Amino acid sequence: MTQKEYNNGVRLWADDVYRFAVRCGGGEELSKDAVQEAYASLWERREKVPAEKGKSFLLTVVHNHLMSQHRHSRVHQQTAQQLVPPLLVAPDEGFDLKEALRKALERLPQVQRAAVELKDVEGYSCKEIAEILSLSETQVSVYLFRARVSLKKTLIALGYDNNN
Amino acid sequence: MTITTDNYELYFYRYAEGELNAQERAAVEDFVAQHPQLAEELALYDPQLKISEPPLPYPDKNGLMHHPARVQPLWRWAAAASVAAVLMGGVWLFWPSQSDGVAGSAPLLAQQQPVDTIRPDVEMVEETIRHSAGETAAQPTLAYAKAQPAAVAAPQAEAALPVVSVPQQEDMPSQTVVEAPELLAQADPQPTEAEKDTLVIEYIDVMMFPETEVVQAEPVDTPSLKDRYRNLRSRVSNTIRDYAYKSYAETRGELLAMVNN
Repeated sequence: MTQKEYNNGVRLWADDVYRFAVRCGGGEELSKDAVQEAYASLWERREKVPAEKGKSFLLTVVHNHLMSQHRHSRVHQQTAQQLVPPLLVAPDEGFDLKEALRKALERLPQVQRAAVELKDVEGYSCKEIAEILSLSETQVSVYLFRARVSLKKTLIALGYDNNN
Repeated sequence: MTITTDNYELYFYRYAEGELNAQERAAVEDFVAQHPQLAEELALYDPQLKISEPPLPYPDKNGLMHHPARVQPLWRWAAAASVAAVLMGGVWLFWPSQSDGVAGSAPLLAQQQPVDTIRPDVEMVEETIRHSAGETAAQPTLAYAKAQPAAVAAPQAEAALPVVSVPQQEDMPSQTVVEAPELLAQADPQPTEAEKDTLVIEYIDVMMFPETEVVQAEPVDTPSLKDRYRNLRSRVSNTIRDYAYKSYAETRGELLAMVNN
């Protein structure tokens, strides 16, 4: 990867990588740190990383960074309930599928959330997701299955009509 | 393929995503029939339920960019080196050598006039130089400007300028006649190259960095910074030009007095 390709990668991928970090539970500041670390790592290894693999490399670094932070913070969590945001149901309001999906996504384990994000938003195949998340393809399929079932259960709990 | 309660999620996923052939699909349906408690999971799996996210701009892309190494500092160094080279060239241009005497028009004037008329009395010349050097040392313009109120400092500083240059009275020898062999013979030995270098460096320091001194010393109603700088440059230049007729220590003392005061 040349310097020009790297800078193009900043223009083309930074938004997606940042969104991936935020949606995977990084929060604004932690996600910025993760993106900066990912690009710094890419710059250091630019001679070994081909341009077409740049984005997946960034996503891998971001995921590992978030997982590391997540493990670190989990040690300091006092209760398991703090890991899962409370599911607030507002029965008087109309059902907002996007908002419900966002809430449901927040309740997923991080690796499942990352797999769903990469599959649905970034459009990666299971094989590519496996490479990014350092998993086997079978594991990715299983995580995706569990994630979608869990999402559906949460949506129903939020008032989603299963027949829609 | 063998579907078990340990691996059924993989086959359920592939079944729901349409990745299985007819035989494999039948195997999954048989498994669900045998494990009705797992049928709900398969029913909940909705391949159409995809999440979509709006764009989320990263706030500081420029901070992630890597640009080619900037060449501006090199140009700055080159510019500074050019200025120094020009200044040093100027110093050496006006530096009087033993063979040529005073630079500029001096040799030409010396050739055009009879020797008797241009040959000065040694004592008179020495008195002139002492007079000039004494007044120069007594009139450190910047130091005086620092010590006096602005309204008083300005005119006196300007008045000091003619005194610094070589006197032009009719009964005094002009600057061009001071190359008399007697005087040169009585002067201190010519400075070494290291001593010249020292003076040149000091001269350049004054030329390049006078602003701090002058700005700190200048009240608002005194002559402009440009005029002060020109005066200082003129005095330093004259002092170095007169170096041929003075000792190194004396010249250096005058320079340092101008720089430090």
